[in-house]
Amino acid sequence: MQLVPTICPYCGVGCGMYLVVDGGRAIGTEPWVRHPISEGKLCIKGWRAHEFINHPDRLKSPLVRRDGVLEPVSWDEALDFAAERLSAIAGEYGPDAVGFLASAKCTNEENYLLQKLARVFGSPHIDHCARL
Amino acid sequence: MKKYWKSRNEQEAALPGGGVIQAVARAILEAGAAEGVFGYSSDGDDVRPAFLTDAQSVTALTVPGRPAYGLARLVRDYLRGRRVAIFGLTCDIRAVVELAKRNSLDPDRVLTVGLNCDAMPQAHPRPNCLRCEYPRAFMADLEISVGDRACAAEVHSERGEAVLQAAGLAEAPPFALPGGWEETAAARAGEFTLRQADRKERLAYWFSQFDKCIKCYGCRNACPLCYCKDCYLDAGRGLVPGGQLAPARLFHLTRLAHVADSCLNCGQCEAACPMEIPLARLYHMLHKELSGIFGYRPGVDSAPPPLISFDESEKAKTESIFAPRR
Amino acid sequence: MFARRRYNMLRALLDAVGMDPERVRLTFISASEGAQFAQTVKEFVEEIRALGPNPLKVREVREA
Repeated sequence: MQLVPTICPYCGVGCGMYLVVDGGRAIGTEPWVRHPISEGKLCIKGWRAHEFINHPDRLKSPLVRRDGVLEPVSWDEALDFAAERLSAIAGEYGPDAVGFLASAKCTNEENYLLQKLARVFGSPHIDHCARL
Repeated sequence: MKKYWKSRNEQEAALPGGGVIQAVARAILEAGAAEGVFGYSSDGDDVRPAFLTDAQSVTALTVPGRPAYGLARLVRDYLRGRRVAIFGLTCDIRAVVELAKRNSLDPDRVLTVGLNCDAMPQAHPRPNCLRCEYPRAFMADLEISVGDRACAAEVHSERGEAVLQAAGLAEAPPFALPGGWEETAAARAGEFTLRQADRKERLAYWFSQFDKCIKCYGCRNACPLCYCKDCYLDAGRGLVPGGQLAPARLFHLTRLAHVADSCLNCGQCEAACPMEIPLARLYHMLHKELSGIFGYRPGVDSAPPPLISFDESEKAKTESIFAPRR
Repeated sequence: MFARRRYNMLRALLDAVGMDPERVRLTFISASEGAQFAQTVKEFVEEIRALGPNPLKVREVREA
């Protein structure tokens, strides 16, 4: 069991926190007392920041909606489907008909990639739940 | 009986405290007295709690100065059932005593080594530290006051004696403790003045403090005495209405009612509060009054907490044993 | 027994925070003493009314 120092992924304050790791899994979050920003305090989201990592609701495979029902598909199938549909929509309505939503649960690098994708695609509509 | 020690290993003896903490920790691990040592460790930059299972890693163990982290509660949350040796400050050790009473920790599986605050630098104490009446961890198996080149150690149980022997330390010349404890006595006295304000002022003060609350549950999460699996303050329990900030004042009054009889004044609640509500001050103030009535010292007495026990002699009394103050 | 200890704790708590401990009362009445029960409750209700509204119910509106 160890306390691994890291930064909270949620909002822009960037509170320091320790992820409690045991057996290779993050099982808890604890405040980082000596961190200059958070000084050993966390908001309720920070205290539970470890929860989404192994949450049972987390997706384990891509899903495509068919007849109103989400079905698991392979990555190849999902990517082909997305590329085909997005191109079709851009062709018909223009690329700024598509909005891109990033996430605070992703890394900065992943969010950057999504931003790049949006720009290449031609849409200015990209946002993030913490307005990154 | 207090005796002075340092490590027999020359390199270790050059460490602060004469390497005594490291030698004791190593002895515990090598003898298999615990699966791991849970104490404060330094990586050069940060001091944080660490669970050390490898005898080589004990060199990272350090004396935290302040603030304490609440090690007992961390053991309960993340190391339950494992055989652990806690190297903590007095408040950490007192929390172990209270958690054991609540069956949250098995005292047979937790060895305690106390690091006395009376030997520590007095810089940056938390407000609750100023009110603390336990500079020495005499309730631990082994208590240690860390000096520059040596430590003073006192044994309080057979386990503690065994551990000290196993560490194979060399005797060291006595040293005087820094004496900073007396310097803070005046500041400590100042911590008890709030009770004297009149009732209306007190109410306005505390309600204005509670109104700062953002309901982060930090106080509840950090408190060693909040051990309920299903907390009364959680959403859906029907006591505190959800979706409301600041939460209903019942949130704080409920926590107060639940822990005041055994509040250790460890200060973890106040340390965790992002809005800097002086929680430990309120809880400790009420606790001091209750411990006057019940004669109970949490973390020290082995009696069960007063609110889940009673004395046979009380059956004969029918009046309130508390006279309200104006 | 437990109730009396908690009652004393509650009164100390109310006083510490600044509320009136007189709002809480503990009395021993047997189930067969119906009349005394009714009388005690009536008196207590009047006393509480005289103390005014419960401060927990009065909540100032916060400035936006």
